[in-house]
Amino acid sequence: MSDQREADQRRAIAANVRQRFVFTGIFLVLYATVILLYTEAGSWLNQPLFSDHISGAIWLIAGLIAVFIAMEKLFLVLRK
Amino acid sequence: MTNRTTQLIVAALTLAVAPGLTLAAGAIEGSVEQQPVNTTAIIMFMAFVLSTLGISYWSSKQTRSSSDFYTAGGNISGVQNGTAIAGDFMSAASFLGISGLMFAYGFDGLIFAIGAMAGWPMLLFLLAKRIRNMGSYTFTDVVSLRLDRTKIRAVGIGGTITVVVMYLIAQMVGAGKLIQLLFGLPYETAVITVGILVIAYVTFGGMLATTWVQIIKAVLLLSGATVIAFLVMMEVGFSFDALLAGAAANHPKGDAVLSAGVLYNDPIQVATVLVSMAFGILGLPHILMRLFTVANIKEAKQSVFVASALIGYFYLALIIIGFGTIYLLYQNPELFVDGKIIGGGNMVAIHLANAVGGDLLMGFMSAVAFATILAVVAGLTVSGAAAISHDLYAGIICKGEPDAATELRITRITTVAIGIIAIALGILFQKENVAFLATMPMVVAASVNFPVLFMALFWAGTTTRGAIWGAVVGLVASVVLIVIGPQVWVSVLGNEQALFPYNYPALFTMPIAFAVTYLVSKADRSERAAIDRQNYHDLLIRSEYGTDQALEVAKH
Repeated sequence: MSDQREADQRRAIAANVRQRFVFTGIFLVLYATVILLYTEAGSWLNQPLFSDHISGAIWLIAGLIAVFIAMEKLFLVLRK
Repeated sequence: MTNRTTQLIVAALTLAVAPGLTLAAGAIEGSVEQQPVNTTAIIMFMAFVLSTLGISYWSSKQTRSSSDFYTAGGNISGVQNGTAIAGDFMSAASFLGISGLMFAYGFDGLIFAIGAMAGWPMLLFLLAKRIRNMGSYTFTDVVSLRLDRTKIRAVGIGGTITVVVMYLIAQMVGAGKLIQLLFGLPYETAVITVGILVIAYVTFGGMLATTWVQIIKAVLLLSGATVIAFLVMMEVGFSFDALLAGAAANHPKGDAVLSAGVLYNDPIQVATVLVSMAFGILGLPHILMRLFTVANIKEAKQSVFVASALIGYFYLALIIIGFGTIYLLYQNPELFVDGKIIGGGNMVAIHLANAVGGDLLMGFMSAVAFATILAVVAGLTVSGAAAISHDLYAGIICKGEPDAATELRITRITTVAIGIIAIALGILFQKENVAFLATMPMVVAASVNFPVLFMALFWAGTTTRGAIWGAVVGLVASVVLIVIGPQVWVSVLGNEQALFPYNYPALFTMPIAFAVTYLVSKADRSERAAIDRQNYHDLLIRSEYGTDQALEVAKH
């Protein structure tokens, strides 16, 4: 393998790792929002949202599950 | 099925198959009386056993090498493997335990659902590719590629065996009681039955049979959960809002069950659960091992995505089921004695299955619950056998150059030995309170296996000495904090107040393991440290592209 090709590969790897860490970082931030439900800052999510009885907390959990799966799909598409 | 029977089944299952859930702590200690059997459940269970034994026979014809045994020769497709991963991870306790928590506390039970879902995206984003490219059969292969092979394999074996043994004890105790209840067999006979079935699956069929057991179980569990959720929604005219309105109207705590704060009010407590569950998944050896059962990295990634999608779907269905228990069961006063649900909170899902689907659905879910235990124990047994025969015998004793036939023979002998040990441990711990052992695998996996794996894969400065110290300190910290925490200090040792307030200490022990690995590696000026650092750079391209050329220059 030429030095140039190896250097290119290492640069690509660095970019790939950055992308992976960005996805992981976004994921962890979203995941941490669950903790907000138990603080003053997130107390508004404990009220009904967009319906009479479905609380923001339930929307959050269901939404996070859907978003996590969507993030994985996006990740796979971007890395194809 | 009597109330006592159902109560004990659910309690046993909850403890047996959910590392993240210890809702039935203590319940498993009690003696189990011989009970009338549920014929429907037994017929369904026997059908499962016969079909899976048939698969094991077929698999035994395909299993001719260590590669076949450990990883099914890498011939499992991504979708199949993803379904098997889901089957390996989704426990009956997720169904029984989380719905039980939701029945009692409403929304807060969902913390465990989101926790169980959370490890998978990180596995895909961070680890799947490099683990698949760097390893062969076990996660220990991955770290031993760049660190001192002998020493780091010893650490990997320790982490794997610790997790596997703790898992096995909890599962065998619960499984024994479950069969005892279903079949009216003595406890010891029940445990031996489980052990023999798992030995038969794994010894003859290896990973291929284990995979199919897990796939069948996953399909059954998802089908059962889907049917129950559908029938619950039918009861409320397919209006989720109406379901929640009914749940709030029926539950003693009213609208509070629709939002956070009934069970937990301390955000740190919630964080400990979330961290332990998410990062624990990233260090479970039997889960990581499944990344090697597919042909290439594309299929490995597909596996994780499929697993994640199925697990996500399962927990979405569980939201309906959980609130369904509140809505439908609180309407039935005959299910309550002295204000308490018959059989305890953990049996509400069984009551719900009975309420919406009758005895047939209840029997089906009982059979699925037992299939779950067999599937998980089989996966653990493969993982434990690989740690001994591949990591210890082939990797350390034979220095990576074992005789293939001998290794396969040792693998099968190890499998039988693990099965026998599991039986012995199941009998030994029959009357013990082993609830804390259901918590420890996730905490140890997050605090020992995951830090070593992550640091070895992503930080060039990681040295063998740093990884070993990080793993040891992570393990010791996990054990100490669990021992002085509520589950052991109060529930087992009988003290009034725990010295450490949290059941899931990974929030603290995992950063400690990372910090020790970092600091010791930084301070390491040994000759070996220089090799470890150079190996990272030499192996970097292989870790991303899967090429072999860098491997040749790695020094051990």
